[in-house]
Amino acid sequence: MAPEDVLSSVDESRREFLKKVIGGTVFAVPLMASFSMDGLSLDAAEATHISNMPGDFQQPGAPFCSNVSYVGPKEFAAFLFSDETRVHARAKFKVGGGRLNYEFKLPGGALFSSAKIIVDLGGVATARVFLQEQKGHIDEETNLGGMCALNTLLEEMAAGAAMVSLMTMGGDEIEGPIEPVY
Amino acid sequence: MRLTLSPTHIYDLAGVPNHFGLLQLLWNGKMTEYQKRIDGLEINQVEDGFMIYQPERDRVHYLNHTAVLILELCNGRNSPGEIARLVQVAYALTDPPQKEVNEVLAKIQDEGLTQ
Repeated sequence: MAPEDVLSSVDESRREFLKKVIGGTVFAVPLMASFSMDGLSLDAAEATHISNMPGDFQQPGAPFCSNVSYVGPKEFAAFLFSDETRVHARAKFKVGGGRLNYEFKLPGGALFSSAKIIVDLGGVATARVFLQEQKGHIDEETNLGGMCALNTLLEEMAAGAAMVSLMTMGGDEIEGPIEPVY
Repeated sequence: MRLTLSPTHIYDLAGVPNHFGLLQLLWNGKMTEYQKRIDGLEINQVEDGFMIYQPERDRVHYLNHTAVLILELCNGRNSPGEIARLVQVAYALTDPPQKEVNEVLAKIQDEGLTQ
């Protein structure tokens, strides 16, 4: 059986799309994560969520989201560095007023373009929170990249499961892990 | 640093990976053998996978490329065994990834992406 047989095994109308799906990829363990848009709650019917926090373990089937307010570190920081360009920056995050305030500090000469926080949602998916400003805040109105709530973002940051990636105007992408500041 | 993704697994009551998950699901009547992708699914490519929005359920699904391939192979004529063989061919694998395919088939049917 040849790869063409894979294409011929589906309806003609789907073959172009299938070419795009298969093209240039190698096998990866199949993954699927499902989210409910109702209140942006993540349904974890088959997801396992394990964080690095002692005593913080949710059994498979337990929801990611809860109405329990976030309890944990209120300040976070990330040191971002590019091995290639030697550009570095620092990100600060501080919880206050029911939102997460952030600020990126870039070295002289480097200009901010955009940034994103990348979160490993318990090993079943990643979520990205896109930030377009050098200084601002993240709240429930922010597009939380498929995460159910700001609580979740904070919990994952506290668990060391988040990293930040910053893009400079010069096209340098620098990244680093977000760590709680105790 | 790159974040890695890991699969969900089917476990039996003792928490031991169940390699006979397909048989069990079929036996329990939870999974249709010849699944067919439902019509009108809007599949959008994103940075590292695909997103499907189901307006009638108000749900969003993230699938990586292998899971989308499995979904696309659900045309009502391919059995789980055939789908695993086609995935094997598509990615030039030495063996058909039957267990992984079975898990995704169970999940996509459960989520109403196939019937």
